[in-house]
Amino acid sequence: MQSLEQMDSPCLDQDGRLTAKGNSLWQSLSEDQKLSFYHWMAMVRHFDRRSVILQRQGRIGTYAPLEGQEAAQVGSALALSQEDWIFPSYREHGVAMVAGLPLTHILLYWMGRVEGNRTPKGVRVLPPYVPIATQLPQAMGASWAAKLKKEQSVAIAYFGDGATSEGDFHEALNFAGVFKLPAIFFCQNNGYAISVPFSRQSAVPTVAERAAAYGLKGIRVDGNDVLATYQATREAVRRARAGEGSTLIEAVTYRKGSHTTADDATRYREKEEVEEWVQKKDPLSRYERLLTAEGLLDEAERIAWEKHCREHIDQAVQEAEEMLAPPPTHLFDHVFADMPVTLHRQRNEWEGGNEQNG
Amino acid sequence: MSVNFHLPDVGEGVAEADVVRWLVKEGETVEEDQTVVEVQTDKAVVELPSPSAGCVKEICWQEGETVPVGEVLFVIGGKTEASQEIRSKEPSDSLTTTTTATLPPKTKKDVRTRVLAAPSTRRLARELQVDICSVEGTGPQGRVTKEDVHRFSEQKTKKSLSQNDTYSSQGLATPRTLISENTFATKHDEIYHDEPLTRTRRLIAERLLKSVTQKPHATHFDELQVDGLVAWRQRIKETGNTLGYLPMLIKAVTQSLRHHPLLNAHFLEDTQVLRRIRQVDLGIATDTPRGLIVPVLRQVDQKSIHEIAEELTNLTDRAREGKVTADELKGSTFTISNAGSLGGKWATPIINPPEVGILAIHPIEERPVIKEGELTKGWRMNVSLSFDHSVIDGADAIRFTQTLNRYLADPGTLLLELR
Repeated sequence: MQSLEQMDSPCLDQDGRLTAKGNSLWQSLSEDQKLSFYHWMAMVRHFDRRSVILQRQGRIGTYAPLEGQEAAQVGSALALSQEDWIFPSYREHGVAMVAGLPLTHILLYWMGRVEGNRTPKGVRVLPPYVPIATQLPQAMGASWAAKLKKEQSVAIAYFGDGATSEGDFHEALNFAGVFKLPAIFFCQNNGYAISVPFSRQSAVPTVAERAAAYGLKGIRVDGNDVLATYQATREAVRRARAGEGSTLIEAVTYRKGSHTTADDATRYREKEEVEEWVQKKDPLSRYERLLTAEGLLDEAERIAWEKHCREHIDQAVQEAEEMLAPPPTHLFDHVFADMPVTLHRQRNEWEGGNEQNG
Repeated sequence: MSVNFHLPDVGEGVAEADVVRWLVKEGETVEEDQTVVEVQTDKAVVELPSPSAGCVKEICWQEGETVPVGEVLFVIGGKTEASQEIRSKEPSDSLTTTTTATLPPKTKKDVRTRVLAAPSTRRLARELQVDICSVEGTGPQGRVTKEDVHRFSEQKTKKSLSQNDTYSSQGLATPRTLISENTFATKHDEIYHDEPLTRTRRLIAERLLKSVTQKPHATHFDELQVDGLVAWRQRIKETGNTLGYLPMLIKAVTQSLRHHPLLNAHFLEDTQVLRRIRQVDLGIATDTPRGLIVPVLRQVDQKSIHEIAEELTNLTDRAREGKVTADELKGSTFTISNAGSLGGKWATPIINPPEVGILAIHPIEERPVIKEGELTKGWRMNVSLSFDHSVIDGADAIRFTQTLNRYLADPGTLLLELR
């Protein structure tokens, strides 16, 4: 595990106290902004816990938990604007929510429903990319398009530490560097690519230092410091819009749970390590402490907000479960514009067989 | 309304899971999302939460059973009061069917879904050719029990017997033979009972079969003089130390392995390589409710007897509770099977591949021995050392147990090698 010492511009210490840098950022924020960090992180955490339970009840197919990574996701997403393009991996439910994707959509996606991929108008979040690192060149492409069209939008790709070992990572960063594109590469380094520790993933100790090889700016932040991830992303957005090129951000964080609901993290992570992150470095309780100390959050408000989260999530679950299932033939509808003969045959067979069976 | 909880595919493509532990009992009230049961797939032990609040009406699979994905694992009814309400409503339900008498009667399938019974009871019913839907259940919530099925079957037999009485008067068959036949039919279930292997057991079976068929096993038996060990333990016991024999035996075996490194090795059959291993990681064969498992004590050669004792307790306790991680079951360099607590004289233990030796330790006993021509008493312990004869010879095995004998006859000799 990397040490948290070598971080760029920390804003919050582990006990939720502002650093000098953090304090100057804090003064520039409105009260609404300060609270929104908390509101989103709490919502994301409740949603995440509920989703794991839904999977265990067989109500959604599978799920990638993100608990522990709320600050990295919420902080960075809040630094983006509505016109920016987001290219997420499969763990970015927090980013997607902040960007405006309804919870119902996220649930439908994990229920295996294509509707989950249909984002509402005005929400520029691509569907989750499951193959590792494929979203990086695409984000790079989107940022190139924006540059050619002289648009103000920035494209951000979210990925994990495992993706940095893929060829796509190199291709995207190299291209973005050469063409000075308005792209942001946001790596949530949670220490493990499923079970492979970062030390087996990289010969250099950080992701951020790889930026130098491509002529990008590299920023390494404590991913559990929501103000630091916000600040770093805001700086990356500023650079992109000002034509200064791409930024590689490494947010050092930790997933508290398993890689997905099909994984068992206790088999490859030391108990002590997990406890250290869960008990001492939790991003949400750290920020709660700051808000409480600043007089912006009390126990009653916290309870009320958590109740609101639960109700909001309950409603989304109900909506998702009440949606009528599409006909099974829609299995054939979403991959090919012109379906190959073999698939046509399968589709016909299914329809014929179904009629016979009544 | 009761809710059937079907075992979901909790691990992206698993077909079945073993029930590890029920955290609730039938009749218990649970909250929504409360953890009800732990199941184990190929990949992980996962906790399954209740989909709704209510009372646990039925637990359909017992601990240790393997459940196919999609089967009903448990049934949640309304809250205790609510479930009674449902029951009292049942007559009114039949009232609606009478008022809509023109509708076709309920199909058999509809009725069948309302019978509560454990899978083993259903199997019994099938074997006795009893329609389980016709059996009146006396269990909780009207659940059909095995006794109900037996009783029903016997009544059926009696009925057919009384029918046969009339036949017998016509000289068609004697009731006597019929009785014996039918008695046989009802006892059928008690003669044998098929039980599928649990996942752990299947893994054990696979591994042991491979070892015993692919490695030329030979076993060397020896009786060790352990008077010194017994006396030493007696002395430290008097000072209030409760240390058992096993940690001391582990230390002595470890020290012996240092002198006979050939036995602390892996034989890699694919490449025909004998890999000598510098540190000693001992597998400790442990009897657990789920079957034999072999957790590993690491770097025993670097540890004191006290440290070994402490780790051993921790490890075997967790093994019995099913809490050891996969990593803790891997990478041993030699295995000890402690049969001492259970008794027995000799054994032919099976090698834990890719290791080359396994030592079974038998009880420490006071036996008659001849010393200087006189019959006297002495403390003895049998050991059985199985070894892979492709890489180790009988002489190596004998030299190993002789070294072990030296340490146990006088544990003080261990001092000479203390670092």
